[in-house]
Amino acid sequence: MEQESYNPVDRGLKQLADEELKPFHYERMMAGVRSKNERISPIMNITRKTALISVAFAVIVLAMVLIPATYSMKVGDLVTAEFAVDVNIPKGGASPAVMPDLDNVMKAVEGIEGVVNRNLNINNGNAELVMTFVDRDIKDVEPEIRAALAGVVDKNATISLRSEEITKPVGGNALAAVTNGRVCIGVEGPTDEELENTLRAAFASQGLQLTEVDVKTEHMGDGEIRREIRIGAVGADEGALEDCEGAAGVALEAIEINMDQDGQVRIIKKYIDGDDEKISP
Amino acid sequence: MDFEQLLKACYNDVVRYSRAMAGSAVDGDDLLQDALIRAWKGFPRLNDPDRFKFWLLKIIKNTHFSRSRLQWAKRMFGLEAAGDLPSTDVLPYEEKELVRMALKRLPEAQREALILFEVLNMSIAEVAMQQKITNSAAKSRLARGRIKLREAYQALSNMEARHGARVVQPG
Repeated sequence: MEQESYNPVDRGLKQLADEELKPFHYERMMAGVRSKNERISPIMNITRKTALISVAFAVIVLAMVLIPATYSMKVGDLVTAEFAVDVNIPKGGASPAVMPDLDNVMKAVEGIEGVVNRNLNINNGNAELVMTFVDRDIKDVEPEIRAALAGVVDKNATISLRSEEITKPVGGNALAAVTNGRVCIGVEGPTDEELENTLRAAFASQGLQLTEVDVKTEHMGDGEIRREIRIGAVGADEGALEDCEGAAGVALEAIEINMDQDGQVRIIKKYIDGDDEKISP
Repeated sequence: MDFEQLLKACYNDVVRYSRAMAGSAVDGDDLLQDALIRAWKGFPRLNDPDRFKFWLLKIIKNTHFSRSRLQWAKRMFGLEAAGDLPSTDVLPYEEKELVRMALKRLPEAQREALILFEVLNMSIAEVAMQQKITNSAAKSRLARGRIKLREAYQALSNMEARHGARVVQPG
């Protein structure tokens, strides 16, 4: 005969092991399972599909936005590939012609890719259309402008194009207003708090007003630690930023600067060691 | 064999397991119901019907973790009162209820090991297989779990004595 334990824990465990279920427990449980299953199945299916589609869509949109924005520009090339195009649309031509409908001209060119600015001036009876493009090649843009204007300008009118490339080199005064910066550093380095304090001191030593510092350490799971520092500063240029990095004394692998200039956000990457392969996109 | 035939064969064990994992009979039955819905949907993907019981226990455990995370999130955002704080309602005393509550205070792995061994009467080898650890690791886990269970039980008993009433879980 089995001896009953005097230890309440052992007795409790034994009671759990011997626990009898109430009559019809199984039937009630399965009735609940069937009913709940039928009730939630269609909803769950729709929810799951919708969630998957939403996530896939979000990933595609993010990739479309982030990949070109982050990686299309090469370090040190230029800040922007911006150029202006003057389109001269003369009144008259080989045959008597009238001035085109200016509204139609503006509408015709608004859909051209990369257009960021359009101005139509009347000069000595001729129309002068000035457009600014970003991230486009003038050779590609020219035929698109001519094709767009073909429907709204007299076929005998002469359209002349004059382009002016506007390049803004990295560094110096071109980056007069760095609004956001991001610095990624490798495994070695001080603690987050030490790093934040050091960066604040470094920026202050350069006479820069630091509006935001946010240091975040992320453990990648395979022993690698990635540290990200978000910096907001007003009045910083790249040279000053590099001075700050030097003052901070941290081993920087890469800098990304998001700058706001002429109302546009541009991203520049620079690899301190000159080793572009070190950070894979 | 179909789902229900296999389930009936191990039904008592899975109910005991669910209740011990959840910390009470009511929560355990809720947990089991959710787990059975998942299991029913996943049943066509079960290759080896002989492993049905172990497969189902794993689903119950995963469901329990999901529910625990959800409850934790709800508590974090103030949507639900803390569920594991003992109240002092007077209910008929049962050692098994105190043990169930004490089990809930153990780390998940130790709790599961004790339930599999003590409540479901599995062998050390079966516990080790279910937890994907070695036999000796299972033995140490059980030994550590027993010590912690006794401590947790004692703490609950003392709390009960202080309140002069039975300690039960709300809900």
